[in-house]
Amino acid sequence: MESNRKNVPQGAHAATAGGAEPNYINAHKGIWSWMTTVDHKRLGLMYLVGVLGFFAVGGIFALLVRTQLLGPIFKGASGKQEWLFSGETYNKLFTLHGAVMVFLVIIPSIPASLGNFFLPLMLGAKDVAFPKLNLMSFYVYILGGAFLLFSIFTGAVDTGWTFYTPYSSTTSTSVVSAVLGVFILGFSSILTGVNFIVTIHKMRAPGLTWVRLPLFVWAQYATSLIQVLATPVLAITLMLLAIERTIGVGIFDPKLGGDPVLFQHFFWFYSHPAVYIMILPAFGVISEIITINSRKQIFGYKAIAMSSVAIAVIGFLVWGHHMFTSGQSELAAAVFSFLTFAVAVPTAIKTFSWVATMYGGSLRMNSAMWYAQAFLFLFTIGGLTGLFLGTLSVDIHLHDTYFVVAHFHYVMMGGTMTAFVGALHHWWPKMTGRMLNEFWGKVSCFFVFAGFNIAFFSQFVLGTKGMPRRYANYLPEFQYLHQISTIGSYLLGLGFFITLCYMIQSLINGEKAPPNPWGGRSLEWETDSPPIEHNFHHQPVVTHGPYEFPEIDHSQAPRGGH
Amino acid sequence: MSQQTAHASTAGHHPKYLAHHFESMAQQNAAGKLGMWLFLGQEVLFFSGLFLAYILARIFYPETFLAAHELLDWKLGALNTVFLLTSSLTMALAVRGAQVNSQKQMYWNIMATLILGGAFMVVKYFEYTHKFHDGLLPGKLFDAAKAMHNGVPANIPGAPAIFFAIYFVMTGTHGLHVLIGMGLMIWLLIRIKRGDFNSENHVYLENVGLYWHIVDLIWIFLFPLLYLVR
Amino acid sequence: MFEKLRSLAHKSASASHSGDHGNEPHVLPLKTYFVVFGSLLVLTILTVVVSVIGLPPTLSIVVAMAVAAAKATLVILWFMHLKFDDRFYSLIFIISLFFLVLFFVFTAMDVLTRGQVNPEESFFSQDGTLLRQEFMKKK
Repeated sequence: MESNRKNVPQGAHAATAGGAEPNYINAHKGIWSWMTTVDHKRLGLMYLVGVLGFFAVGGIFALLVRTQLLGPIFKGASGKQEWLFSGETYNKLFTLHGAVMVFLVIIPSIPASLGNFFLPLMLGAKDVAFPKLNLMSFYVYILGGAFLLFSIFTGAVDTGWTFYTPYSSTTSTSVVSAVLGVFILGFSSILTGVNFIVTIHKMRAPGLTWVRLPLFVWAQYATSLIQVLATPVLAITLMLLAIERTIGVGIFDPKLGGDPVLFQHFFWFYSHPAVYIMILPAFGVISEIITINSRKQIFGYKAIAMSSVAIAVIGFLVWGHHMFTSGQSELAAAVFSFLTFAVAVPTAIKTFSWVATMYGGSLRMNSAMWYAQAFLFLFTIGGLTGLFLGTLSVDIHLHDTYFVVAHFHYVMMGGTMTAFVGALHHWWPKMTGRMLNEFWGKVSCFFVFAGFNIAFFSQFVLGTKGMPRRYANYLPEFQYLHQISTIGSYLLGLGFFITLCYMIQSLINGEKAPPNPWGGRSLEWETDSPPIEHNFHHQPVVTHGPYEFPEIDHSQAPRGGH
Repeated sequence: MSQQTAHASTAGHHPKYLAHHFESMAQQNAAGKLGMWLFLGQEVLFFSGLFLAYILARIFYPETFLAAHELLDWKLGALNTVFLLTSSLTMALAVRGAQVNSQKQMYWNIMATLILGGAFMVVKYFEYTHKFHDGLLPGKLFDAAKAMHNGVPANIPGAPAIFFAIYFVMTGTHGLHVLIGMGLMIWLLIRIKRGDFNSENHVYLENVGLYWHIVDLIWIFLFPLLYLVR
Repeated sequence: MFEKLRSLAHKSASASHSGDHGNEPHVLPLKTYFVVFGSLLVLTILTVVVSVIGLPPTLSIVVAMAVAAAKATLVILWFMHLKFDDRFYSLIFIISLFFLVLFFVFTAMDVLTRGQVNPEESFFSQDGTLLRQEFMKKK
């Protein structure tokens, strides 16, 4: 029976069974069945809608910020040329952009939406280990988002997404509401992390050993580990900040004997590992997309899997590189700088492995693969400029300039968000049962890639010229670079808007998707598109690695197996 | 070949407490416990920030800590230590009761744990009201003049505001955990009364137990750090 | 490392799918619980007595922490059953302690070594006085 199933041509399986059993979308009807669902696929979809909604909100803030930075070219009430927003409004805009994008979009983007949807499918499980907890994390996420956005109506926040003391404990804006929102979001993140680790440990299908796990699962595992171990420190930090603001507890207040630099230690002990919460799932996605579209066994499976874990561990030891100019001791700064360089090693192992996977493969350049190529290019630039910033002496010059802004946008936006959109293209057929328009997919990828580079490469130049970040205005000599950057950001926005359009088009009248459009070997491709309510018609049994494609010529492979 | 049909054949005789997505009670219980241990790891890191704040403050102001801790009553602290240690014992015995399938042992040991947790909070309440009355409050609320007026020797060198900030934040966060634990005990009592737990299915009881022990564990460190400074 | 993981994976896979009761509860005799509890009380008394006698400051905190660690170990191993449970739980707990120690050590490394290039950034003066404490005293 098992060997039989292996030889079934793709699609035949679903053609016989698909019509009989309802899929997860139409198994239950009505809004209430969605609100109370414990199905990981529905929750993944709900997270996806939430994340995309918040992405639109954060994107609008970003475009407003960029529009302000076109310069003093707007006609004011007095008829004079003026800046679009006042300094105060601008501060609130970039803070909200940062906080929404970091806490509501990037952190939950891949893990909570795609992870929820695909982790149990890839493991051959019927659901995550704690489905009710999963539902609760979703509502906690929505509640946290509500608190964070509620702060807009009570005066917004103007501290930057980092909430640095002493400014955050003295400013008159609504820091407590925003901090409470982030605190609550942290719980969602922790609960999701716990759920995923337990799922990966306890819910694997028979035969699915650790070395047969798809690399997306390995990446999720490393991510969850960081979520569980780092997020509580953010919680306690923000709790102390909230108490500081309400009763003046003084732990971060030098006047009473506290230490504001301690806040930075606390904050970055979470927030640096959080950077890896944001990027590791993207690594997992890229491993999947590149391998499946190269029709080749992935190069260095174990190296990629282990480097995820290595990044997760070393990622905890580098937080001080955000504090080189904070008055931290020279010894600590040197150690943190060294360890920052150490993180580059496992990261480079991954990048080289992806390139080596493509080498000699029969590449299929679909739109997901286009996004993956964009990722490789953008992430490499982002990663390498990270090394500049990890170098002590260079950082003193570049700290808090647009160079930093460009660097982390290359990593977070060019890396994570590109991978996220690529992953949507890759798994869209499985999630919705519809194909996306390949032509428009490539058009949007072109706009995103070109727009992104125009928007942010100019910021590298601005940064090295000394343009500080978070300023509402600037000297005239920076204007042309800022204007180039703004034009790029509009193109980027256009690219994502095109994506939105053809995704909606696909939902309405897209071509029906076969169960396995890309010829994948991991378990999520073995069920229908979209999957049935309990994922699989039979408990799957795994007899091969995730990337053993039938067209691989084993006679020439220097090292077979996994 | 037989493995593939395993799912279909076990679907017939489902144990009462087995959720649909697990294969066996063993798998379900192991998953629950693993989840709890991960949560405990999270708790350790949650408290780490407060302990770090303590360490740094004590490095900066050793004289403050030495003088200010005299204003805490170590006897009450020791009493609370005994309460929590005993509650940990009764909690462990409750879990043992579940293992040997004794409803009575489960019920009365959880009840004892709940009462001991309550006793801890009562002592804490008296300690706190005393401090409030004397103006020994955290941060900028610290009022040395009021304390002196009440006959408390609060002329502490350095940064007493920070000592009391740390005292209140640490014991407050810990107290909050005790309260949550007590809430969980009440929930357990209701479920035990309903007859939900037995030797096969008691992972909830075990997990609340693990949580309660970690709360105890934190107090084991808080007690010497706050009350017994030398 | 991989071999270890594989054996761990094998163990948990067989536990999750073999269907039999791989983790039959390990019931300890009642006496064990009371002995542990007695030891905890004795250690509590010890830590109070040590504090009242008053050892030199450094030794005092070392002893206090050692006693607390001993108590914690007793609770973890017996009350929390870690001694008899899946080794992986111990690993999780040890990992969390490891990151806790890292957090402490790295932050302390910064705070205690400030001022090596610019002495005015240090928290300590040349003769070892705590500048911060002196500063707060003057206020």
